[in-house]
Amino acid sequence: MRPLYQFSGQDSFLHHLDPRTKLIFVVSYLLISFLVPQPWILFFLLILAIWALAGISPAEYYPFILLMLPIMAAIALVHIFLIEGAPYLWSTQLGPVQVGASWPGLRVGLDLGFRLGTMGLAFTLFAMTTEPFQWGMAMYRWKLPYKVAFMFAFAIRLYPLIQEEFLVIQRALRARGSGALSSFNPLVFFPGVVTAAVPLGLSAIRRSQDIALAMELRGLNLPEETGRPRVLFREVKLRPIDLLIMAGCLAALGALLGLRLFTHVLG
Amino acid sequence: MEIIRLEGVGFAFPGERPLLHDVDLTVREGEVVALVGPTGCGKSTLLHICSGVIPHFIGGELSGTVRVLGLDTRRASLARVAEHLGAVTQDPENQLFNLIVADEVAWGMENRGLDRARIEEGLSRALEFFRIPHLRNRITYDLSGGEKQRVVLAANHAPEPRLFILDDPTSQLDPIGAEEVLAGIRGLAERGQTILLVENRLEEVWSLVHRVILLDRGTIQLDLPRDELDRHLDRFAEARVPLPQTVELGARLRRRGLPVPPLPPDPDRAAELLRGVRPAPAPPPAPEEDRPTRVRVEGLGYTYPPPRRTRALREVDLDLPAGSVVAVVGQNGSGKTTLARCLSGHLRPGSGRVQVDGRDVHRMSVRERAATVGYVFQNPDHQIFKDPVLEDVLFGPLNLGLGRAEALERAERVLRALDLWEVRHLHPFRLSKGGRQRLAIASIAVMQPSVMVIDEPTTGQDLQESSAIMTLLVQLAREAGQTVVVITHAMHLVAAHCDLMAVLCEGQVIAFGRPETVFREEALLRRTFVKPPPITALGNRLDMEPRPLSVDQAVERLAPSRLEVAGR
Repeated sequence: MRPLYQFSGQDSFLHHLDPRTKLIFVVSYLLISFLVPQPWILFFLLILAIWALAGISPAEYYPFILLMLPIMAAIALVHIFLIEGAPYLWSTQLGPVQVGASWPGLRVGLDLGFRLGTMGLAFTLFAMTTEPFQWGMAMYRWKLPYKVAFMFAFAIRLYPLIQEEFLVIQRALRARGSGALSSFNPLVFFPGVVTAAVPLGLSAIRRSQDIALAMELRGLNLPEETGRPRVLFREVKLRPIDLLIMAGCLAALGALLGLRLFTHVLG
Repeated sequence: MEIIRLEGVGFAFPGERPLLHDVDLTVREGEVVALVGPTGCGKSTLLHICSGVIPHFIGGELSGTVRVLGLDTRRASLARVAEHLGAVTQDPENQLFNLIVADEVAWGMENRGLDRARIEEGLSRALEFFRIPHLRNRITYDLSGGEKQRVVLAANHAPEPRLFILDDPTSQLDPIGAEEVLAGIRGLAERGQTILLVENRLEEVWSLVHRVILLDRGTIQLDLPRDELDRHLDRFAEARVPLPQTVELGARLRRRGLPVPPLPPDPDRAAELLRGVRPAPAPPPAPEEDRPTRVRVEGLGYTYPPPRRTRALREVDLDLPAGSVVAVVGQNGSGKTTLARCLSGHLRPGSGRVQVDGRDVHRMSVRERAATVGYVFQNPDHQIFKDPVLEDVLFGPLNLGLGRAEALERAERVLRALDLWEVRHLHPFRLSKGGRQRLAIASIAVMQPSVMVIDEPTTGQDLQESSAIMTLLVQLAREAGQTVVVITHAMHLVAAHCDLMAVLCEGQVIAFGRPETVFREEALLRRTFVKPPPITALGNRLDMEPRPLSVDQAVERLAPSRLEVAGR
């Protein structure tokens, strides 16, 4: 299994889209999920879209879904009890207090949970189908300084390596008789994270020093030194399909916003 | 033309003892110069000085004159010094910062402002040169270690540097990866590229090296043409730097008065020169001890989940005796690490089981397992959790529920045995790499598991440190009756220290037995890119019975014989 949020490297329609297009799609999709009454449809639609248009099956990111499910369930559960209103699924009198699980609360909770899940999934779609350097260079094209754009992309490239290191450290902790990082008890888990932070942090510092040196030796600062401008070998530019999708997303978002305003005014 | 000129060079970190002093070195255009020396002798520091990293990136007190490619490295910026050089270090992972191979190789040329047509030309040329055009659109973190290092070489080669500085570029690679990288370096040398390299396996670069420089105690001790090295055996032994085994054998036989010509590192050619040799009969082998089985592996199988889906282990059966050191060898991807992780209970097998003293390790709790099977990971830095050294060693026993007094008693014993007691109050990261490796072993040994599984315990260590670690593991096995399983690519250490070896190929055990027996099966071993140590391979060619596992054994067997040497 790949580490979460790692670029999948496949060759698909979604992989070929410009990062800026995907960014606008993701933002629009998230906003739309707050405008429509059934966000769960968008959640499952996104899973289907990732599968059909990027060739990435849910089996490749199921740990993310497993991670999201309890959070979504917790949000729903909290709202069941927080929001009052008939009909009640269950209720009881605890002394002077009436405690009840309301149907409207469940609906609001589930909607919020699915919206959160959709946000996470949308980011998964973006990360798994977007090569970080393409993203970085797209930002460079939008006038972000080269070094900032490059370092930003590099940080994303480094993330899966740190995730892998974390797994090794988790095993190393188990080898020393500590199952802290596998524990569901926060009082055990968080001290385990602090313990794991020592090797993880030191390794990250060492790695970043080595990488910074390698970058220097490969000429990161040569353009400033010589005055010869840097040339980008790979062209990053928007194609007609990118423009079409961007326009479609913005139009859909605008239409839904308009509809919401219109119904609000009428209501 | 002089590419590198160092005169009276010294270097020290502020307030510390000099790492280098009085270094004079000249490297001319087209020369390939190997720098050898024990760990900590200053090899990497010298390379940093030659590449301008010192003083620009690493600060300190640099004295003397350093001129590289005609530039005074103190006055020129690092970017200017690096403009015409290629620098490759040990770990390819820390030299790759793009995601796609083509971007990585093009990056240096982009920084030099070459136009797109020249970048495309340079990219194709570099990929062809290192025989990796098929990797052009691959993601770098999906590549093998050897492929990654060849990408790094290609990325450095693409802007056509005038000097290559290579710091032990094969030390972290498996045999096939190292061979791929060495083939690339040979290609560079054949093209007349100037190369200054640190490479601990001299036999691998023997044919391309013009000069060898021995660095020890902070300065250059010897600077010699390659063919004169075997006249200075004692000096190399003193510096704990191994010469290629057959080269050393030739020199030692000559010392004993035998008419042996200088032997090359290649066992085939060395055997030709020693044809007609009649080795002395070997003493009768020591009777094999009958040791009870400690680890029983039955029908072990494992397939990685999607998207990888690799069938890493297939029906593996092994019986590992108590009190023995067992090597697991094989090409990367052969299933070694998967087997080790199943043995230690970190991976649940798809089929079969692993039993230690009759108990299934996968039915044990985290604590029970840690107390039964210890696992030492390859990178010691991933296993350091506490400060100072003593607390780090105590971490495991305290997790197992031992009282502090008992844990302290055990820790003292282990730290003393591993020569770490004197540094028990230091922060673990102040120890050398070898020291940290010993600490990783100590932190597992202190839990007194019945089985210890150790992944590549000698990576990046010199001969003396590697031998010290292996000797210690043998000692643990003999004294505590532990079964020690070592995953390694270092065949000379397997030959010298291990009782048994298991050879894995495509998830199956294709050979299992004593090294002396297994190393005879060269054709079988080739399936998984394992080569016997050169001295044992020479023994195979000369039909020596039993096969020598060290240079000492070969000398003892050959020295008394009458040699009929080819060409004489």
